[in-house]
Amino acid sequence: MSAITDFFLTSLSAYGTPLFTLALFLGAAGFPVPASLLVVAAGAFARQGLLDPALTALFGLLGAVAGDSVSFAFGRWGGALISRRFDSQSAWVKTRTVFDRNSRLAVFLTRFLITPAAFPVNLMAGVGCKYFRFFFTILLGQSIWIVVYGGLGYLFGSQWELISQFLSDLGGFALGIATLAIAVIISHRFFARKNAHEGNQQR
Amino acid sequence: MEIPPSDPRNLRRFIFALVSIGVLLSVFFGFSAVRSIVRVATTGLEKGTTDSDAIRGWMTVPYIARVFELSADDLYADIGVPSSESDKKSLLSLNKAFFPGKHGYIVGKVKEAVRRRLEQRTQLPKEKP
Repeated sequence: MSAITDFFLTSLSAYGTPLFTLALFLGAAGFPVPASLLVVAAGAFARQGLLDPALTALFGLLGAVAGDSVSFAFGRWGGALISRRFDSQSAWVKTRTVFDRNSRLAVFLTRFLITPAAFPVNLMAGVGCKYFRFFFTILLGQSIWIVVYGGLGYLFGSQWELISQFLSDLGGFALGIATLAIAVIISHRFFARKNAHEGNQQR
Repeated sequence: MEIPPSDPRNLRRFIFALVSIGVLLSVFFGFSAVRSIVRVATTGLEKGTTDSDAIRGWMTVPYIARVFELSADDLYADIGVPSSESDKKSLLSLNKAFFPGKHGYIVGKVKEAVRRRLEQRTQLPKEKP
């Protein structure tokens, strides 16, 4: 484990729920915090009687949603500057169009499955999405994240480190599958367009 | 989904890069996840089990005392560290503060102390009659 992870685990066992809330807030706001590992650890600590499960889950959810909202605001402010500069470029417009069409799914999945991509997705959502929609999507996604990850930590108690490693690997695997899926979709569109173009030329 | 680069040659390169990254990530993390599952299955997960070998450098003495249901003051006495102002410090920090040249010394001492006290606790009820 890294020094940062060790620091947060020591602090979590020493300071409990307030530290947990702060850590999830910082993680969602884009700081390098091992948030998923802390959620699993918090579940295990709750089982050991160190933390109150309901209270910790509630405050953790509040922290994570507040952090997501802050990174959304970064995206909103930064997005205005970027849009002013790049709105004339087709690549930027295309990227925004694609993201806006799939933003809710992207926001939802990056809360608990492809968690490393959560911060850039928040920034991108801030550029063009409505906060009201974003808020309910993150509330649902973060609730699943805290209940499932924390629940596994609670369930497996002293073996939580192994469970955390498995969940981290699962997130990386999902990211790989998502990248492959994007490649397949783009290839499919490319060849469909190419075939249509060749068909038109033959006629 | 729209296609980012418009030049077909660039697009092929882009797709190739995406496929390569996707395959690398899937294979690496897929194998790692399978390995984790196998470890979970072979180590036999038991709810709430406590093993002194699970003690790590990030843990604090009060945390260890709570998990193993021991007295924190007894553990401080066993490892030779004063309890005042040590409650929020990890074993690694205590090691740096009190035994700077001895890497991993306190973790070893705590494991040994916990093992001994757990053994004593299990022996006591047998000796009573």
